[in-house]
Amino acid sequence: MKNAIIIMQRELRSYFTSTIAYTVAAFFLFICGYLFFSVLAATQEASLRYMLHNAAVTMLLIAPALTMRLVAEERRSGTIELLMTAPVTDTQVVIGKYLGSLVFFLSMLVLSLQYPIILMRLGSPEMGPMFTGFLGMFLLGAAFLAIGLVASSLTKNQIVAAIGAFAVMLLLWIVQWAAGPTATGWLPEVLRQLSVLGRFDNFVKGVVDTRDLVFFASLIGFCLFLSVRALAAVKAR
Amino acid sequence: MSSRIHHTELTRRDQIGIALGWAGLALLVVGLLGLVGNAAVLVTWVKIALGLGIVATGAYLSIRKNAAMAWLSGAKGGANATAFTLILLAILGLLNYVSGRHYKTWDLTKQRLYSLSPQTKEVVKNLKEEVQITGFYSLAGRGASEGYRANDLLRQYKDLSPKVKVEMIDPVANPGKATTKGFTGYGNVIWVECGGRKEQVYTVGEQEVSSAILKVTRPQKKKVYFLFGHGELDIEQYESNGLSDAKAVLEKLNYETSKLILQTVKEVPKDAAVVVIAGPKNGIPANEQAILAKYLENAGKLMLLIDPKTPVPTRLLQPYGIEVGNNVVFDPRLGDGRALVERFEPHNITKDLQIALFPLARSVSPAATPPAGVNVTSLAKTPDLAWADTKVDGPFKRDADDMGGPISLAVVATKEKVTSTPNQTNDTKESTRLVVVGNSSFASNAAFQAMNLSDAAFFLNAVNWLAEEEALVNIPPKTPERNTVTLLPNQARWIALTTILIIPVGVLLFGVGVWWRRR
Repeated sequence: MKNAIIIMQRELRSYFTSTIAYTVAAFFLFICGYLFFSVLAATQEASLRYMLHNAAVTMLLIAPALTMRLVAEERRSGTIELLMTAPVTDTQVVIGKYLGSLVFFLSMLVLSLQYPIILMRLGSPEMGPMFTGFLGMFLLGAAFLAIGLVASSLTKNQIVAAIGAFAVMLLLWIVQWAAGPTATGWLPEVLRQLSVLGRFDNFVKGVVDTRDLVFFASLIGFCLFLSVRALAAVKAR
Repeated sequence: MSSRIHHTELTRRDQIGIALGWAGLALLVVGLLGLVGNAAVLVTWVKIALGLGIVATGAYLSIRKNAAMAWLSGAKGGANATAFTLILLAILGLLNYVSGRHYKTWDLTKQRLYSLSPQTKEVVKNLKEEVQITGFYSLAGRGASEGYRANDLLRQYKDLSPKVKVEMIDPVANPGKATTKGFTGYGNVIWVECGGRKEQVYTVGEQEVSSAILKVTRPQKKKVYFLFGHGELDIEQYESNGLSDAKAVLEKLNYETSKLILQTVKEVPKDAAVVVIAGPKNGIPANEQAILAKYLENAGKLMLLIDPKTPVPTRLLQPYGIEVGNNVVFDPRLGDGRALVERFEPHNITKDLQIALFPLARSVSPAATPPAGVNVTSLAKTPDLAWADTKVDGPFKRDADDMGGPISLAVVATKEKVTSTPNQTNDTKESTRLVVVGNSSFASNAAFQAMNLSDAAFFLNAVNWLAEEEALVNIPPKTPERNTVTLLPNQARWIALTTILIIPVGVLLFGVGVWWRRR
């Protein structure tokens, strides 16, 4: 664990000194701010429901941008060799890098707590759905960062990593459209289960469901496992 | 590297470990499959726990760290690793499948918008036959949101019990399927079917669907009679002092309602589940009181609402230890004989009730020493500061002979029926049930339209309790609260400036600063 934390700190340092990370954060806050203000001005409603719904789409762009560098860059520049000869396991590397991206994402979310604070000063919003909305945003981000990490571990090219991650996320985003909301049978049911959007919706509405928690945990766990595998494959070569 | 692993000799310890691992895995799979089929029983959980334990022991015995890492990292051309990936995927799939059957949800919205009420849960849990619910909604175009609302609602029913089967059919996109179900039309209706009976629901709401389930699963309707002919409130009267709303809601709750005119019959009809006497202005003649008294003695269920300044049918009340005062309750905060119930006494009838307003009420209280075998208690009381004024025509002033608050406004009485027939071995004891309230307008249409008071709910709960149908409580419809804020122009400018400009640009400038320094 100690090694993983050292790697996490290294990743965080590189995030906080990289222009790209700041640009991504600024882009995220700009879109969220714009959505927040326009929804508030249009509905005059003390709720983050519509804003979070729309803001979640930005995760499709933000997660690949934050993760594309993680392993791909080290493979391109060759610094991966240093990491491999260091006395750390692949699992520690993967967990450390993942936690690094997660903590950076969390700091972006912390900055977006400005919206609930504004609502609380203007009126009396319902706290429950705002809390679950942010929890949903965090879990969605955590799952997407894990997917991004897999993509980054599979290639030396950051652009390929970003596009690959984006494609997988988009697929998980829209998979329920293929199933339709009401079709019965095992295949539509499975497709619906895979949809991150449906799961995220529950959180935004104000509902926490153990099924959604298990799903996100499984998705993250599986992606981290695949990343470890990918890293091991690089090492074996 | 791979060859080295391959040539490692298996020790005794390894062999035991591997054997244990496979056995445990098999047990685990059997256990998990048990969960998949039905509700979990203890044996299934024991299998799972044992399986996990044995796998862990096996793993501990057989796995040497280096060898395991090499195996996992696919040193042998990735075949092991691929297999392991597939196993992991299968385990996660199974885990999600099981979690889909055994789950828990927390609804954090203030109004519990996405949870079904305890009443519905009670109704659905007690289902004995399978209920098929089919929603016919077009899920494209302008009416789509209604369809999605129906879909969300019906899914919650499906999640409650395996006895509920839910299907959504889009009659526009899939007319063939709708026709095979026997449906023609454009939709926006929910069919609730059970054992050949069918109810159609046109409003997407929990109350409507739950009532429909009750109706199809309970074919016999209980009958509520309203006494008529002595100036009582009328169930066919639509004015604000009528009872048409009460009648409509009772029918929605699967009751039948009818007027009861005692001048023409010798006894209360056999099919009467409850008799309601709602605010008679004129006295009830002695012979009719006798008929009602006899009904009560035979485990009858009666609700009597009696306003101030009207004659009291003493014959019905005395045997049950109920005293109706000849007075008007006066609350100095409200004036004019209006009484406010701020706290109901604990009883099945008053569960979840909050505040009720009785316009013009008289005291109704339990006798100090009720007759033997009678159980009589107060249901609702005024706050301390009210009093019962004996000068019923005013002016209202606290006098020495006035009863001070809290004044009891409603009582409930029960008496077990003594059955003399010895061969009757009934374990469900029949009993007389009586609810008396010192006001009648709390059941009127005016009260049913006052959403923020518990008056109507009090009436319905009392009828349900009298009819021994506690499950059928009224479920108020839920509408999302629109929690609005007023945004002043300068506030709006300030918010726009901060959220869209200052904070994002600030972060961006910070990034530029970092880049500049690193250069």
